[in-house]
Amino acid sequence: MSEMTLQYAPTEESVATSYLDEGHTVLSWLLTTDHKRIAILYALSITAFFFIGGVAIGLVRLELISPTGWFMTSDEYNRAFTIHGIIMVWFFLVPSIPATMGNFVLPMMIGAPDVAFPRLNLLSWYLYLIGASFTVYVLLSGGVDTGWTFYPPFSSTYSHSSVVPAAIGVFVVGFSSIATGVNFMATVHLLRAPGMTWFRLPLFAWSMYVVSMVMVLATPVLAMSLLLICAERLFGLPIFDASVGGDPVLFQHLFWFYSHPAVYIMILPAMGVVSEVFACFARRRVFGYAFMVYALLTIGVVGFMVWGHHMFVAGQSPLANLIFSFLSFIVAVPSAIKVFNWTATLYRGQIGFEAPMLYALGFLGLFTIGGLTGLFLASVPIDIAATDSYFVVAHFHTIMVGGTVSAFMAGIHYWWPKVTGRRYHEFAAQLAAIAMFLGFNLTFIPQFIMGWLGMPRRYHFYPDVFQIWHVLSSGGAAMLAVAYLMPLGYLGWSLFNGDRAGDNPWGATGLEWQTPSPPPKRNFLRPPQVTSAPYQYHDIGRAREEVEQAPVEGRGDAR
Amino acid sequence: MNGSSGDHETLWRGPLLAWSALLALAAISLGSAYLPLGAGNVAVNLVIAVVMAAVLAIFLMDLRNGTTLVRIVASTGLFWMIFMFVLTFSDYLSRG
Amino acid sequence: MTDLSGALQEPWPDLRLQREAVGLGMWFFLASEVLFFAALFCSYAIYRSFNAEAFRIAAAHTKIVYGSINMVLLLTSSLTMTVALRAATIQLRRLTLLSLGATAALGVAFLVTKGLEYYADINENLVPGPGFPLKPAATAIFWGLYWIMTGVHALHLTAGIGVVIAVMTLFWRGTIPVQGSTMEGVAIYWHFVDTVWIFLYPLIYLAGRS
Repeated sequence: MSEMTLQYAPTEESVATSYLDEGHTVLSWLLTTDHKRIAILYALSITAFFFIGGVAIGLVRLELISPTGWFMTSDEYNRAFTIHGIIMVWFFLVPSIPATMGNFVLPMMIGAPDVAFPRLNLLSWYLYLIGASFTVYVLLSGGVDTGWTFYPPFSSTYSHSSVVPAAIGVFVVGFSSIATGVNFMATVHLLRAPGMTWFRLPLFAWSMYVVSMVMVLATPVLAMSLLLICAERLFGLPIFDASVGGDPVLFQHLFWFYSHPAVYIMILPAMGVVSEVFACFARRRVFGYAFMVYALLTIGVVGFMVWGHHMFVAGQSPLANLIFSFLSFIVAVPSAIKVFNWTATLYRGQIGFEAPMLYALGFLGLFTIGGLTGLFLASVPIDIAATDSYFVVAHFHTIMVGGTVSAFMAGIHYWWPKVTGRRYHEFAAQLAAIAMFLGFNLTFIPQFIMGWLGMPRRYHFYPDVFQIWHVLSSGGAAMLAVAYLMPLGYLGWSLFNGDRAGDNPWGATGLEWQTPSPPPKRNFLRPPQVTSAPYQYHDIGRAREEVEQAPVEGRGDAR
Repeated sequence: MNGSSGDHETLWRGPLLAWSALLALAAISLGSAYLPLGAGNVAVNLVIAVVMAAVLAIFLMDLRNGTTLVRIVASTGLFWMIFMFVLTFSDYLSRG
Repeated sequence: MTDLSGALQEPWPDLRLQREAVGLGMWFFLASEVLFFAALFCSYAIYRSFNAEAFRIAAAHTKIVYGSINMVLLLTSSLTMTVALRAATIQLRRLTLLSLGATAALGVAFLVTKGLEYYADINENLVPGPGFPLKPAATAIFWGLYWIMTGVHALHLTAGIGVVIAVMTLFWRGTIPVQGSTMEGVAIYWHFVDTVWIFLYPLIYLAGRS
């Protein structure tokens, strides 16, 4: 019997005032330093931006139904996909899991009362808001047309759109990531509960630690590259100006020094979430825990050395292409280890198909497809043919949307009872999860196909042969939109009408479940002590019927 | 703890020594810059700068008494800077 | 010994751990800052390796007197900052306030010198763009980097001065009792800004002298 799991459950729920009841005024939220409330503030903000970015891409997909365009000028089209990219990357995906679930769950997972620097945590949210207001200004002022990558010389010299406000928005929001990263690393180092050794940390905590390292070390380089673009655009300081001997490709080096690791900023937290979910819903210890940790660390470090694979056709030297190609293949190894270990975790598990598990299984499939197509693109000769085609678009969306957004939804559903104290409607959630998986594939499999056939990205006029694929893709996008809107409905409904969740509705291990739902301000009623490794589901799996208050429908392993 | 003169002495001595060393190194660097060493100038200047940064980090930022963790963190930025330089130069130095 | 509990922040149980956390957090942030400047240094290194002669010509027009004065000012400010931190650690209120004041003053003196230097540079039209006097063309890249590097450094220093003055005010008013935990982060940050200048100095001012 695992002390870690059962020692605190069930706790006396009536004693604790939940963090939600620690003040009901707007100010009590805007000036809060409670990591759980900051997580909620972040969740609301990034959700708003997710839907703004979603509207932008909805317009793009609508426009692409016709091969000759039908309601947008080329300029408007450029602005629509640019704002989609900027918002989704920096205002949704990068902060998505760390700033919401990381903020909420990480301190609880390691048994801490809060993050290391609570006021810095609040500051990071305000930095996000400041960056976000610049981006809203960009939207209102007519948008920006450089693509999310801000390549010079177009961005520094020729574009007539709001490049500088857009760059400032991204610059500022970058510092919100850095603040979060610094905070999380210090938290994991110094605030672990007694007995919570490094190799007893849940994998989500590990993923937060590694992603913080990546944020802290990569984001400043993006900030500087954007600063250089602004300096050139505003003051004519010619850093990337080829007419005086500057090199626009240097910008690409700096930009991708951040933006490739940024992919890992998006996917590492997703890996952390699904590790929790797989273990819980397969009632199994995560297979190869130590290797999962090493794989996270390896991805975090090697991920910094592969950025040049974005520049195979940019004028980079053949030798550099070779080096970056080789390193990119290397980074596939730890990713594959993770996929195999998740699969092995599921093997002979008592699998329950609740919504978090469905989303996580969707992640597993899509991440594998995204990763394997990434190998195509890491190979120089294939990439030369596929560069800037829809194959690339489909590849990175499979990782970033199929992977990260699936895991984001998995985490939202998994921790929803803890965050709100309520149960969501399981069947509605399962429907949404399935709709999202199908919608995603319907959107992006056609893009893989037409990309392979030669459809370039960022064009809204295209040969008629591609129309069937574009129409299918737009249909899939509509389905995805429904799948994204559904949770707003049933999760919102559950806030007021959902059943009370109880402390540990999933029968999960992990300290965050050994405290009331919603948790009290300082997270725990008694300071937690940890005496065992994480994921002791073998013990709990048998003891579960005693622990849970009522059987839950859809529980696959309930015999 | 009181502010006795013994406290004051140990308080000032180390930093003053480090400060004098830094000023001396800066002066040497400045002087060497006027010698016609060709490419050697920048090498000398940079080596001196690295030594100065080390003196400052070890004695004034007190890495001397820092935990292993702090020392690792302090060197991390430098390692990542090396990644950046080596891989970026791998492109520039091998362009045709 | 005075009561130091006023300096303790959530979620720390004691000042020793809090100080460790502040130091560690600041070092994490500095790792980030190193990469921020690394992007500049990397650009500088690449352009200089391809335009050695242009960089030599361009760098000869920097104002070495101002640069060297600023080197001395900053190194001295690091000395006073170290003394301030050590004094605060053993709760010498007067010495802490005096050295913090000296540190801020030296920082301001740096900025004033920098301002004079900028004024001289602008008078010589050393801003890339129309009327930029130097040849060959790549000299404009050096001067572009000059403005950005020194400008970004000056902004960092300005932020540092602001925080030093803020800490000084808190200590002066007694809002927070004088002790090391509050100052640990400020001190490390200040030394870092000094370190950046240690590298900017040879790259900008000493490059075109021989």
